[in-house]
Amino acid sequence: MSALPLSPMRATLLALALALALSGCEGRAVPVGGASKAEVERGRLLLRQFGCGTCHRIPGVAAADGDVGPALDALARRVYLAGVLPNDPVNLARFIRDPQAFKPGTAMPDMGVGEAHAADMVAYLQTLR
Amino acid sequence: MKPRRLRWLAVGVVATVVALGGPLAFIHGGLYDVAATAPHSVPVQWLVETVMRRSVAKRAQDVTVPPLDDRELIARGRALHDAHCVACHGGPGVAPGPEGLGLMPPPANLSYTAREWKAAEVYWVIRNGIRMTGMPAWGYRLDEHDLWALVAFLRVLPTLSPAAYRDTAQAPPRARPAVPAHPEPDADRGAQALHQYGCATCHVIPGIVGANATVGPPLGGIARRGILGGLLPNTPDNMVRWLRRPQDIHPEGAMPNLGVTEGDARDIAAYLATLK
Repeated sequence: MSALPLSPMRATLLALALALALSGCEGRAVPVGGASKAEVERGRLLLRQFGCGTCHRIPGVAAADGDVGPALDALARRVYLAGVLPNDPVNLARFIRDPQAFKPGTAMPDMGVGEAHAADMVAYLQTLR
Repeated sequence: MKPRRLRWLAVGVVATVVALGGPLAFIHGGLYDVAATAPHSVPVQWLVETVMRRSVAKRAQDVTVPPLDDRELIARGRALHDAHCVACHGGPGVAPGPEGLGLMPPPANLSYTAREWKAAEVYWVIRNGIRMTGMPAWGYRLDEHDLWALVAFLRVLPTLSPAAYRDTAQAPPRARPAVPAHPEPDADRGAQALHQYGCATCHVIPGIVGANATVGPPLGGIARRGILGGLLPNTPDNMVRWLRRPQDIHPEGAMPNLGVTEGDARDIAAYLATLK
């Protein structure tokens, strides 16, 4: 490390740079990420193929502009799923596969999503922050 | 460009960077201590105190004070005071609870307040609260009668000895009949009510400052939404039902019954209906 004293100007700039770097997002309670780019892209495609967009607005998914259920903007930061399940990748996959099991009577149907497909969908939805 | 001009240009750039960068570094660098364990500095204390006093005085000017000497009104005020105020403010010979003692600025001693502030100002503060002090707005919890009952009792409070205060303790206040709904729902009133029922702590709501939490779903486009809570067709009446008592419709849900009155629910629904 340089022993040179910082000029006030450089100190200000350094503080500014540090502040911006530190204002990032550390220490989240729920682990995220880890999905490969291929999984994320498959998930995007599957959300379209299973018709999710007919009921939900999903950023980045073509023609996903449905207004039946809630918009999925920033879904990865959502605390609860359907008001009943704490939102983490595992619960999200379970909910996608069998919503009626967690919220009987919900308008969201069981779409017959397989485990692998649900995992890819979750990989994509985890990018919505 | 001449060297002289270049030098001035350089000075200008440096001055701009320092002028913008300093405050930005102060804000984003977390340099200001917001802990409630220490008081404001002297200049900040003077600033916020003066702004608050002047703000309240100005806004209380138009308040008309009703007769406050009615015994029953004072007695009702005493019961409300014991139920809602003592926990933070304490009373004659009664310490505030831990939630009040931990607040900064510390909640005022109300005997002192009653002597120093005009009745109209006390009413205004109880009704509207004071942002960033811990003083809540009671206007959405108590009706006009009860707000003035509190003022009526606070006028008497400084005349009571601790013993007299203790000996006149009241039973908990009885609930008053429901507040009648406003004749016409109003979206602007609804936007204000959204803040008063904590909606912004869970939902992203366009047009509501500070409503950026993602506990529940975002409410952008809620006017076009087909289903509410996954369970109810989105009609105006169903929206009011949901706002008032979501747990009746979805008992397992994270959205609590927040005690929203019929009138406030209709106002909030009017606002949400503008989010297309």
